[in-house]
Amino acid sequence: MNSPIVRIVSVFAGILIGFGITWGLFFLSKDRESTEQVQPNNPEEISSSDEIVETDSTNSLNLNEPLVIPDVITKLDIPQDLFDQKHAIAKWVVSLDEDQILSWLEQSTQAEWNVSTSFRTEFQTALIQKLSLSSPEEALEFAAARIEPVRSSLGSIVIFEWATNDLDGAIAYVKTETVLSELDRSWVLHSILQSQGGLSLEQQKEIARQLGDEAYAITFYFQSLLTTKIDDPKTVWYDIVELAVPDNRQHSDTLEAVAKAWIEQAGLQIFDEISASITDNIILQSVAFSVLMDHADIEEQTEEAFEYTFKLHDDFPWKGFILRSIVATWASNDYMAVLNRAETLPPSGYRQFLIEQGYREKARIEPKDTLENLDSLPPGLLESSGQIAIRELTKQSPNDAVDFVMRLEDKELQQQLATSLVYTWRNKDLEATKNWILGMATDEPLRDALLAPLANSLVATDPRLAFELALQQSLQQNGENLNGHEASIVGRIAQTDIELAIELMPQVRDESRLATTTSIASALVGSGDSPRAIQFLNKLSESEQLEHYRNSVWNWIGTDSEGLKNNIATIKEAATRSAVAQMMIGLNSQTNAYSEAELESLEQYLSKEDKEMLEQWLQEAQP
Amino acid sequence: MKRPSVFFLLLLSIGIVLGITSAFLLNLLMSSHDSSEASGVSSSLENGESPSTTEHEQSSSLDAQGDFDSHVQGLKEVLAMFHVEDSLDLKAAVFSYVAKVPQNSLGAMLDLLTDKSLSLSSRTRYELQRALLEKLAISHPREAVGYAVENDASQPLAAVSAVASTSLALRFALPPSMPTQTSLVAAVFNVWATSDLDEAVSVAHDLDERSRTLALEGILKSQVGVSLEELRTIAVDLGNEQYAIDAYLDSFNTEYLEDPRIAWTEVSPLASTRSLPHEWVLKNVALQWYDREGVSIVDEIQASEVSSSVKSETTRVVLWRAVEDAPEEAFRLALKIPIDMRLGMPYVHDVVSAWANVDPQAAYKALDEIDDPFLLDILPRAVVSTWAWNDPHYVLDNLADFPPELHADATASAFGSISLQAPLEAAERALKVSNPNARSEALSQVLYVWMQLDLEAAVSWVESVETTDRQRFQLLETLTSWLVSDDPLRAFELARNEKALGWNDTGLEAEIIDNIAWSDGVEAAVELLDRVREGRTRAVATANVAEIMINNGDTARALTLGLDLPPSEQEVFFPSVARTWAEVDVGSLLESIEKIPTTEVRSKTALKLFEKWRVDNYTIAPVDSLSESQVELLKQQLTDADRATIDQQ
Repeated sequence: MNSPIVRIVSVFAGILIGFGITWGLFFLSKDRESTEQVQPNNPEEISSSDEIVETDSTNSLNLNEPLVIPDVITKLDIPQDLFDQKHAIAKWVVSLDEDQILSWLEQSTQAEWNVSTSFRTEFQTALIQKLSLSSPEEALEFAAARIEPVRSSLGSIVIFEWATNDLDGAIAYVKTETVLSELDRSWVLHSILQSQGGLSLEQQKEIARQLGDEAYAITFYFQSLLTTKIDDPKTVWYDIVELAVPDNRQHSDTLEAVAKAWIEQAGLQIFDEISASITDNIILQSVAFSVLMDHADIEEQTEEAFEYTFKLHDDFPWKGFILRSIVATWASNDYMAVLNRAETLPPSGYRQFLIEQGYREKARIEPKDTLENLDSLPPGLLESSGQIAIRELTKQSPNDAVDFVMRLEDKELQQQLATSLVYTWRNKDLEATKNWILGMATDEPLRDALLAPLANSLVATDPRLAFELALQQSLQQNGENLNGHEASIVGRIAQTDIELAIELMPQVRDESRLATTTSIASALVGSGDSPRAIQFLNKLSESEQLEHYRNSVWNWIGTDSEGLKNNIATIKEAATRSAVAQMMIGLNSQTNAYSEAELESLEQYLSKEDKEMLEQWLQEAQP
Repeated sequence: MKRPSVFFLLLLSIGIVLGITSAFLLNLLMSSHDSSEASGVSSSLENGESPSTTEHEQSSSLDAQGDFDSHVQGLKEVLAMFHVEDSLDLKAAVFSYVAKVPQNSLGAMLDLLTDKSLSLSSRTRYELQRALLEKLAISHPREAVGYAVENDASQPLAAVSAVASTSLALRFALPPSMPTQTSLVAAVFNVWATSDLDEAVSVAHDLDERSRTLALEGILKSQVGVSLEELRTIAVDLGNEQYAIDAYLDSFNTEYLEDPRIAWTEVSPLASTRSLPHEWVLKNVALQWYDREGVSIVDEIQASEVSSSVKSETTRVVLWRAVEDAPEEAFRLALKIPIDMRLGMPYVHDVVSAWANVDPQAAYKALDEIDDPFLLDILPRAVVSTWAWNDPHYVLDNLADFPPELHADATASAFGSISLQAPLEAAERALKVSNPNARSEALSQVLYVWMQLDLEAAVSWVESVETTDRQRFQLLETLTSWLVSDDPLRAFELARNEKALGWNDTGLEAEIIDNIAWSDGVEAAVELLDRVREGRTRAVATANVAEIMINNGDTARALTLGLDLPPSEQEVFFPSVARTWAEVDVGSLLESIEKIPTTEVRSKTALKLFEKWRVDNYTIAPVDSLSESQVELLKQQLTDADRATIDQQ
């Protein structure tokens, strides 16, 4: 017993025992880590009649063995790990029959089933995939009843599965089914095309054509080429450029994205090759605008974009528009650079635009400086720059703007800028604007001039006050005539409140009477009240009536030809009636407003002379 | 006997202790080998590398080679079962298979899938990769990340989406395209972050920008029920706060909200109407709120402190829905909301338009309650236009029952609708509309639609229609204005063949030449000038082309064009280009005037520059921009009569 061999064997046996037990424990503990921890969904609901679905991933799964599936999904034992959840879902669903699927789908929409959104979506997706094979219509109906984005996501799956197994059936259904709206067409088309792998573009077009949107096949093809990694934009470009259809926003978007990627790789000069490969002008102008503006939007690249575009030949589609847009961007970042560049250019519309835009931005950014130095502006830009500057200054500090305007010695300029000030200030503080103007001395010429823009600003909110203020303004020369601004105010009031306009009519000054009467009459015609319009016009003198009818009969016929015909008898003066009838008959070859019988009936109003003149005129007009 | 037994037991105990110690040491040795493999993966990631195949091979050496081969065989057997890719059975088979693969063989299996010679579809490959990675991420997340970064599925370019429309009315209903394969990187981090958020975020930090963003998506998706602040912390850490807001909002996009009112207060300050997913959330929350509390919620939406665009769009969504249930109530409520045109048409406009779709007569009748002049102008038009579109024949047959000011809108809408199905019938009927303005509108609508459907038929009809000269001219004018961008030469031919002149005694082709010059370039227009009819038409057409040349700086060529015209046409040409010429290059204008052969034309050209025209609230004449000497030079070109005109100003 004490022999060395026995001792050695004893120690060795101890080693084996110690090692074996310890290693076994290690092995078991690792295995348990990878074993799922089963968490019953609602532990209190587990009853002896239900069998818990086995979820141990270390057990081998035999799909052919029937599982016991609960009728109520709240009794499902949902694993914790994501992998095991998905595994469990797949196992459950693959063994369901159609009735069970429909029941589970219905239950899955219930709020009481307390699961995460992602689990619910995964669950519904699996059910839908299975249902799509046996009853795709029901699957689609379920999907269509969901909210976005689940709706189109599940719908896409249904269509995809359906089309994979029965393309003709899927197409026939979606063409007629009303559960899908016009807006769903995009993902329906996409899913069908996606299900048909390996088809040529022509074959895809044929499918898309059946669904009413042949061009979408090309869009689909583009989408398959475009990923966040466009490693070889040149190759992609040449794949797509000849396929793109004009006026197709998605195709343009695709071309623009690829072109931008190519430019990012190879520099802006590569746009020479890009543009040379585009044969359609509409596509070219769209891509050029997008690409060049995109380049210009980065401040360090704006000048490069300008130079490149400037050098394009003059017939390049939209060159002018693109260049002006780039200049506008450039000027807003660095107006001095724009002005300096303009100095180096020969005379052209572009040069002029650079100058104008440069000074506009300067006025906007430095209004005070611009106003203090108006004299230094190029001729022709003083008024426009001054207006921009005063508007900007008014927004920043109306009092400063007022101070500046009141210091101006050039009265014409003062009035122009003060008017701009008023129209800007009134948006911010109409009351303050009114107080400023009305606070000036009544004999101040500027006050008189500003009564008109003030009245205009008030007409929408306080038309009576607007009218009173307009009456206060002195009569203004308008060509050969003197007019009061109240005529314009009444005309505007008549557009929205004809009764008020009529009420104010007696207060207008004599010089404004004609203009006011005709604007009210026009408004009455516009609202279909020709009889009343004629009544109004009857208050004018014969010559005034004639002049009005001459100026307005074309529009009158265009707006209310019936009203004019039916009420011509109420025109007070016979000579006027005759003239109007003559115009109505004479113009009918162009207006085509009256039948032969109606024209004959109008002839009763013609005087002998007017009838003869008309006959002669009509004869001469014969080809 | 006792003493030898104790000794024996002692020896046994020593052996046991030695055995236990050996086992611990061996386990420690194996664990440190795994961590060095994992840190090797991590350092590879920091260097932008992916774990090398060698590391996977080393890990697989822990598994017996025989077991590995059996897994490969098992994989092939699984794949061989499915010739047709039945999605769910594929998924079930994949998960069942992957569930059986031991943790330390997962890496090797993933490597196997990158072998292109393995015959399987991209979809199957993706499903297997994803399942393997989701399992590997549980025990060896860093290894999983390395693989995912190297082999991720390509994501579609966001700019290309299958949206159907961008109109405001439809924006809330736009669907996405078919869901693409989720990024493997996102999937791995989704799993990892569930069990060890800090580690996952730490490793995500070291990825390149694109992978880091995908990792962030996966991490945020794993954080269910977490507050916005916590999500923000993660997202800010990984460089994109917006993703936290997106993820937070997405959590509200469920079919059942516990309290949609509360949900509204949470989502409305965060959501942007420029984001389609945000719009879905707003719509979902608002409509669930509406379902619970009715259309009166519009008052609360309007009174809320959220952005005006969110307020506006959700109000519209609710009102559109309310029109289906209680249109009168929706109408009255919408009337009370103050109008702010910066937000689009008034809400009541949307309501009556939607109402008119289902019951136009009721919608029209309801307008009797309106007294606001602006609404009285726009609402009847909205109702009648919708009505006419949906029931064109009824509206046309009863047009007299509508006020005259609505006839044009009603007619245009009705004919637009009819022309979609029967353009010839629509055109013939439109010709008979008595009101000239309405007729003109109707024919424009018909032609526009007809040209899209069948250009040849539309052109043929216009050329042969029996109507007044003026009417045919207007039809041709409409037709050619639309045709010129697609087929400029044909548009020109049609215009040229029309004998009647326009309002300015100018032939239609002058307008077409102008369009061509702008869209197809000056050269294309110049080529056609020889075919323009002589007289005023040619003068106007030439002037249109010359203006573009002047703007391009080519004043010399513009002058040549003008001088090639006979004097009677120069009389029209030079004055009409004078203003533009003066703005662009007054120096060359002053030189060129000298070359005009006739005194009268020189004078008329110079006189044009003294004409005032209104800009904003001031008047200006081109001479205001000239120096005194330049003005003097101009005056020298004037005849006595023209000079007298100026002196009177």
